[in-house]
Amino acid sequence: MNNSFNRTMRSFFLESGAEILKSFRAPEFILPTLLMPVAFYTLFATIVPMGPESAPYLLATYGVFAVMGPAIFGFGISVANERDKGWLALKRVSPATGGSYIAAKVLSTLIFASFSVASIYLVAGFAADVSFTRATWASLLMIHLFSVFPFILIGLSIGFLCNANAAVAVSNILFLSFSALGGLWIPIMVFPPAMQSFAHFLPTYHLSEIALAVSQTSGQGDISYHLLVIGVMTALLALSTALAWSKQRNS
Amino acid sequence: MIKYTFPITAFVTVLLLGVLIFSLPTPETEQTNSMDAGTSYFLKNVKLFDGTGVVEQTHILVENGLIAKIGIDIKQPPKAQLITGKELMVIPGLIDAHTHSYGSVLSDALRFGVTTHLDMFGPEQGLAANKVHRQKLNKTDRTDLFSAGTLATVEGGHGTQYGITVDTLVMPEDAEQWVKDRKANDADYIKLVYIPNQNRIPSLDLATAKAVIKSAHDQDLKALAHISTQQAAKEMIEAGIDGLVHMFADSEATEEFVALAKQTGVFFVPTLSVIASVDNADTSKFLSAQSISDPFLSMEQQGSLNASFGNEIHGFDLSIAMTNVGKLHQHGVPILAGSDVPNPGTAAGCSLHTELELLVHAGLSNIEALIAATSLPANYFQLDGRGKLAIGSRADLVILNQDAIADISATQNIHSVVKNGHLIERTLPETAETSVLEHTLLGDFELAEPATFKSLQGFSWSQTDDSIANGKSTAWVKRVDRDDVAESSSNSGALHVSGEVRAGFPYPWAGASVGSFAPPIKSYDISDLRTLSFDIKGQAGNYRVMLFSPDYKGIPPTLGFSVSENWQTISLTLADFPTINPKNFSGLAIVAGPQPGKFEYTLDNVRLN
Amino acid sequence: MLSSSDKSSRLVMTDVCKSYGTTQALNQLSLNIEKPGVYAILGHNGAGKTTLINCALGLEKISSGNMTTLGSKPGDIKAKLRTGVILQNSELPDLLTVNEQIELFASYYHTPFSVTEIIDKCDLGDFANKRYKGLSGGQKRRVQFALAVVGNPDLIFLDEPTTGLDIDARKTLWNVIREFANKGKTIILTTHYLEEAENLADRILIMKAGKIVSDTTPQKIHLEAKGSVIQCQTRLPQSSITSLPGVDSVSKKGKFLEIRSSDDTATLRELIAQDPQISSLTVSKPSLENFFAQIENSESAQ
Repeated sequence: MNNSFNRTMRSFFLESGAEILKSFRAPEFILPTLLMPVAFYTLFATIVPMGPESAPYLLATYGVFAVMGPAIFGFGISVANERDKGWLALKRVSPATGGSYIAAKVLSTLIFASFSVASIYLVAGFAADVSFTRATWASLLMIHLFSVFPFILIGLSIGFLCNANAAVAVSNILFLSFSALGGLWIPIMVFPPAMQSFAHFLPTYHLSEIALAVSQTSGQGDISYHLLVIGVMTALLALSTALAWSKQRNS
Repeated sequence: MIKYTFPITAFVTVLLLGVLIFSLPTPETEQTNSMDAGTSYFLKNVKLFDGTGVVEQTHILVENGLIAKIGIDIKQPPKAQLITGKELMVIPGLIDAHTHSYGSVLSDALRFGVTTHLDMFGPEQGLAANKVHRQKLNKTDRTDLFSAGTLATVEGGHGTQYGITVDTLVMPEDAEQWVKDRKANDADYIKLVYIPNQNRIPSLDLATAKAVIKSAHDQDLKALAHISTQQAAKEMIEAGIDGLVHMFADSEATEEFVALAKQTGVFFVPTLSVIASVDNADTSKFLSAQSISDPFLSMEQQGSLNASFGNEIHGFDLSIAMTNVGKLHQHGVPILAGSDVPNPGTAAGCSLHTELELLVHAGLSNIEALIAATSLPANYFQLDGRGKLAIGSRADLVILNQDAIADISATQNIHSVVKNGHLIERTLPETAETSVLEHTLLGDFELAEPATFKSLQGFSWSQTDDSIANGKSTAWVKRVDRDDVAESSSNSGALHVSGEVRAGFPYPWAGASVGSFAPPIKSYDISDLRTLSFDIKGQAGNYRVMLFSPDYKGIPPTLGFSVSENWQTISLTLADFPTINPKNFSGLAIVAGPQPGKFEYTLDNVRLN
Repeated sequence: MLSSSDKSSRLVMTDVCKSYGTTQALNQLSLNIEKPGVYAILGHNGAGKTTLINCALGLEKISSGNMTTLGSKPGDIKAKLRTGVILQNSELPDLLTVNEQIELFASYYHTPFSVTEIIDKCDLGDFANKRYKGLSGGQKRRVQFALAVVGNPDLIFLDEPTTGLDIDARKTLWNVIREFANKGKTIILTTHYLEEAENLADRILIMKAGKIVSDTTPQKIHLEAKGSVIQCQTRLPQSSITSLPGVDSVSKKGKFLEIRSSDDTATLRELIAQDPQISSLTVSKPSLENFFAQIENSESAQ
């Protein structure tokens, strides 16, 4: 029993290692996903800030932006690609477990997202004069890292449903529209009312509101509402991902 | 190598995140030192009024936002900051039992040692956040707030005239849901307005008022009533009201009334300060001289103190109110200190101190006045840890330079204020920058657009009427050509103003205004200027000029003049405007009213000289 | 569910049908593979070779019939642990090195070969530290084979393992496959290279339209296809050649005639006698190619 546990752990470590190496060896993936959020944040929070509150405000929203890239692209494009190439089929006929593959990808995404978020926090703390209590920094980090999960599910669904080319397009469209319409780049308050109400359908909006509330930077409304919506959205996404998973298995 | 990739990367990532979280800047990094010293104070050899009684000499240790120790035998911990001085007296942070705490009221009040506000009508949006805020012991720059939320009134009734959306009642059946809504919006108690038998403004009927009281009690909330007559007070007491938040000033309390009040245990928050203001009473004989020149009064507080209700309202006689306070108090009816700030004539914080003086003149002893602003409201409103200084109470306290038991006005001689265990910096808020204005043209209307001025930033011409205060008057402005000069002349343009003044607001007006009215309000110092002049002709009659400043409350400084059908130049001396604050001028209006009727006038060459 | 005899069998199929809509990919197919060795499934595209392998792996469910792989239901983890696979058109992650791929894949199995052992056996030493992306086609296929055998499986499925490779790469892979077969592994490969089956297989299963139409060995084919193939250019008309001694059939291949004879000596003697100018004369033993053509012809004749 112990032996089999050790074997499972060893295999899981190798699987995670493989995922990390795959990510870090793909500069076309690393550069945009790691650099774009921190570059945008540096630009809007330190070089051309729109107000004294913009650095802490944007920190909350760009943190969500920073984790969304690795999650949607890491899962969407890489799963679609590996499925297209038959690597997933080979894993399925091997004794490898599907759970281990997904879990390894989740961990690799979390590590990636950590670097992305950390780089923004560094700029915020040491260049944009953002200061929070230790507890606030820590809870903000938790919120931001937790935010990968809905996007991972979205990425997985893309990976299961699209071929590699379509996955690139769909991932980009979702990534950009979620960012812009969910208020990650500019607060939704400046949007027309119809767009503001539309934002309520996007996980980015609720996640950034939770982050704003946690960082006490003008989050609006009741945080429990946003937590509830994100909970429901995540559950629905999990369901749709499970459907997509069984669809791709049977096709 | 691949087998080490994950453990190493994961370890490095977690480590980095840990290091990051512990190296990111926090607001505490600067505060930690001062906080360690600041959260702990040792008040040595002070006289203590603990909310109920007096200890002549003792030490008090404040730690972590609470009173840690009291006693003459306690030792000063090395970390505690020492506060001592000749004849210092410590009293609990004061509780104002009748306020309307919006805007800067909460921070203004704290400078004057008022650490808890019981709001009697205000917007409900921030109440949930306030509830959280007041439970904490963090360093804060505002007074803690308890609130009734909105008030129970009818459509068009008292409370609806301030521009806040008020959830009104129609009939007794509405009461239960209405109280439920207040509870859901985090109101701490219920306030209703019961002013029947007058034709000025509609009021709840007795049945609905009773239903509100019953619903409040059913839902474990206290019910308080705004009344203005003895009869209304009597009906409310009979209906089971817990407290009356004004003293009636229409008639002296009868013996039966006193007996009824005593028997039911109802409490009064007389708000003599605001009754004095409505009555235009000269209170200077009751008050010590210091309040008005107090350096801790903000521009806004000064404006509020100097403002007046402007008109005579029948049935408000300060001396009757004071007599009633004295009578009721004498028979053991509880009197709580409340100021009704920031109504015209009162100002956040400082008016509670004058209220204490007025209560003493009405018959309370000095210590009874202090109790009325500390332990008594704490008891009646169940404010745990407030209003008393005992071990474990929250460290909300005022350190006075003088003994307030000997002289009640000593409460205004504040050494320092401690809120949540932190010394409060009693600094005034930064006021908007004012520029000195030399003689200037406010309008010659030569350009098609009577828009903004280059020289007067933020100023523009527009129509103005009392519809902004739910009145019914209307006004229109348009630029016209003058008929008495050639079109080619450089003075051919003028402003035509027309409209109708209609009843619907106590002081109706309609006309044209120039100035800065939307935030951020820009104001100018016009103390070097002497006169306001302008050319005007129009429908013959009396018109008025009103001057505005950002801190104005109630009726602004106003001067009247008359207009004929021919052009004439009006010149008004600025010093003639009553209660003008020339250092803080943000605009003026030339209006018709308050007498109802249609009007029209043409205006040109408005200048300050 | 399973009889004890099934347990010793590596792959058993009884009356297996698999249909996609109206297309019958496997049609009442029965098969029993028990022994080690190389089994070649030969057939044209669409004959059902890949479907058979996918069903055996549990990637696809059979529509009817019975089927066990290594005594278990196809796709069962017990079977997977003893199975190795090269799937058709399947690629490995580009950015991992050969070493990394093998180490990861080995971890899925309970009693795998060591990485160095596998690198040695499959002759991957020259490029063990290179990323998969940079390998040649033949090298890639050898890495795939290494993954198929790294778990030390009893049953190895290779779906068209040499398609697209040049002859040298193909021969290198054959040697490696053969080596594993000699060590007691059962290797089932699909191919449409007849030469591959002929050179590599111990047993050849010829599939057509979802059925196994012939279950034979390369040796048997040689025996069954008696006589020789004579190829030549001659003036003689086809009809007169048919009546020569020993001739079974005559067919025209371009400018050559191809004569099948059960007695090549007699046929040749008479042929040369009747046409002294005969040219381009070759005599050969019939290959699997011919045999396959025969099967095809007989099938279509029915």
